[in-house]
Amino acid sequence: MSEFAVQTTDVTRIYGSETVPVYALRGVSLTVENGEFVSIVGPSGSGKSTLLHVIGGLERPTEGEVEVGDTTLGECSDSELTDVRLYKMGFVFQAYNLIPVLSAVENVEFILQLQGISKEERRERAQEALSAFGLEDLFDRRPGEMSGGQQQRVAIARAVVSNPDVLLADEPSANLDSETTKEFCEYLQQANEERGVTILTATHDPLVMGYTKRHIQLVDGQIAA
Amino acid sequence: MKYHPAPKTQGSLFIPVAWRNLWRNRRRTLLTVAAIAFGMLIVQLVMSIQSGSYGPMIALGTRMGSGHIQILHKSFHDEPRIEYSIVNIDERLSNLDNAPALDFVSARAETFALVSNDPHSTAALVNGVIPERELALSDMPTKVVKGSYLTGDNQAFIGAGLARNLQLDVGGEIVILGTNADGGIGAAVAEVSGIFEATTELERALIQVSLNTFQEAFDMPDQAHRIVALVDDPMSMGDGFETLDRARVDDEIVMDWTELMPEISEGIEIDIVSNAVLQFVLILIVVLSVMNTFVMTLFERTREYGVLFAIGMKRAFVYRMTMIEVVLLWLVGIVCGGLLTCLLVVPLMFTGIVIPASEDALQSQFAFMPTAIYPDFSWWVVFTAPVVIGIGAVISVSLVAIRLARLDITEALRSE
Repeated sequence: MSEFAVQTTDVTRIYGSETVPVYALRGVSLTVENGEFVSIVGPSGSGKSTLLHVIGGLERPTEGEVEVGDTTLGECSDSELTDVRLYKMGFVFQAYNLIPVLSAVENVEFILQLQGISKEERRERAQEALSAFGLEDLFDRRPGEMSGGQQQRVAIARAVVSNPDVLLADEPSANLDSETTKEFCEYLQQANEERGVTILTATHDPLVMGYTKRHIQLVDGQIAA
Repeated sequence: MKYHPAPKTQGSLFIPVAWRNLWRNRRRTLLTVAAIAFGMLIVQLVMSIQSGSYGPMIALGTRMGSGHIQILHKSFHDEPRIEYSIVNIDERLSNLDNAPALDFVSARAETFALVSNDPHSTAALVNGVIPERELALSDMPTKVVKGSYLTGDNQAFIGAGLARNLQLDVGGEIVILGTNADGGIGAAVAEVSGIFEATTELERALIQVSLNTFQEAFDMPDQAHRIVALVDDPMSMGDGFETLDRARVDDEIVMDWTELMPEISEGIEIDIVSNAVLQFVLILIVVLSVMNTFVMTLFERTREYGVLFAIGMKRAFVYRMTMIEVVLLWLVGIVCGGLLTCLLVVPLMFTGIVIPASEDALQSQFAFMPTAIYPDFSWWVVFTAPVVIGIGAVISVSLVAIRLARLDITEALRSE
């Protein structure tokens, strides 16, 4: 096992054209140890989401290198990056982003199916994951039949069911009220402490920051603190 | 790093996801299903009517006496002179009677002659036929309106128009006068055995006598102008053409009904082409409708696809899921189309589609037009529309799916 969960080295991400470049990230270097619960904070446009996308292999940096465990993302093909996301990472998005035509348990199962796990095992693991987040009565509910908080808990269950090394959460509390955010953060903390999942969350919500053990401050695409 | 691709698993969620996705926009899906179903219904209706009408058209045309295939003198078709005859008729008919590729054979002779019943006379086409074989070869014996068909030699079977012009009735005598093969005068006197009604042209100008009478009148012993054959399937002709080709001699040729009656084969060809254009347009509309549904789907679900890619779904899986969706849509469409066809078209196979004009009017003006068409369902008719629609839908949606597989994940995640 690698000494760290995530490491970025001089990561720069430039959008736009060569004549009018827009720097989303400027030489970001950071290391996140295994089992850490880290928040990436900063104002809108500071590069938080871009940093998460680069770490998650959703987009490639213009310069620099990203390592997730013992995998150097820059050396991976697109197909291998998909495998990295499938086997090593979990994602929680701002808008829950569950598959609307699938029930809660099917949404969680889906990622296990992509890993080729048998029907019986994936059903058992999906139910177990949902139960761990207090959703044992909502297995058969579709996203449209659940509250925002319940959907976000299903999203966490989906993100952790495959036992990823790293969980990336992009503004996960943006659509939640404070009470639900608190509840949600406790479940994230539970996943971090009980399952040992390394969590990086991009947020500007002080409530979420309060649950994380380390903050990485981004300003204009650079680490400020 | 290398990960093994995910193996196939039992109880795939792809099919339930695809099926439920299909019904997320129920109205649009139902409209697309209706387009597939009605497109299929119309194409099958048109094809079955086509398939059901050509047979009767060919039968009506060829049963005027031409048969499906003929042996004739190489010059006779272009220049039907009496001396361009073929010989050894009795022996050749006897040999061809046993040919397995042929359903029936007969021989005919023909020439233009002056026919008269003093003091009336007119020109007519005199046909020499073998009466006992004629019933199997043509419909002429069934068109008797007075008297009877030929039963032997020295009898004449004439059209009603000709009978009026010559003021002849059954039992009357008709004189036939023409040029024989060596340039001399050929003549015969025959008793009118029967009068027929057919198209106006035939009624006024056709007279049938026995081949023996014709041969004697025009000094053509054991000769005729055509050996005429019927085959089981006039569209394919089977081995019939080859059989007659082997039976011909050097100065003879073999022609089939498409050459003998080009107006029928050309009519069928024009009909096939014009209907093919109609069917192509219909299927294109259906395929574009399916494609439109999936283009809309792509726009509506862009963010969802972004999430699927983000959580580790291979682009090939998204392609596969889209294809499952289009196949399911196609299946629902063709099942509905099949039901519509069973309800609306199959009964017509038994009741027929009556052409809205009286039988007499049709018979007198369009000799080759059947009075009712019975749609015919061959495997070709049943499967062409669904298969072509299916292939078209898969190809068109593939174009959408390829675009889908190229989605930029972060852009897709940012889309509304």
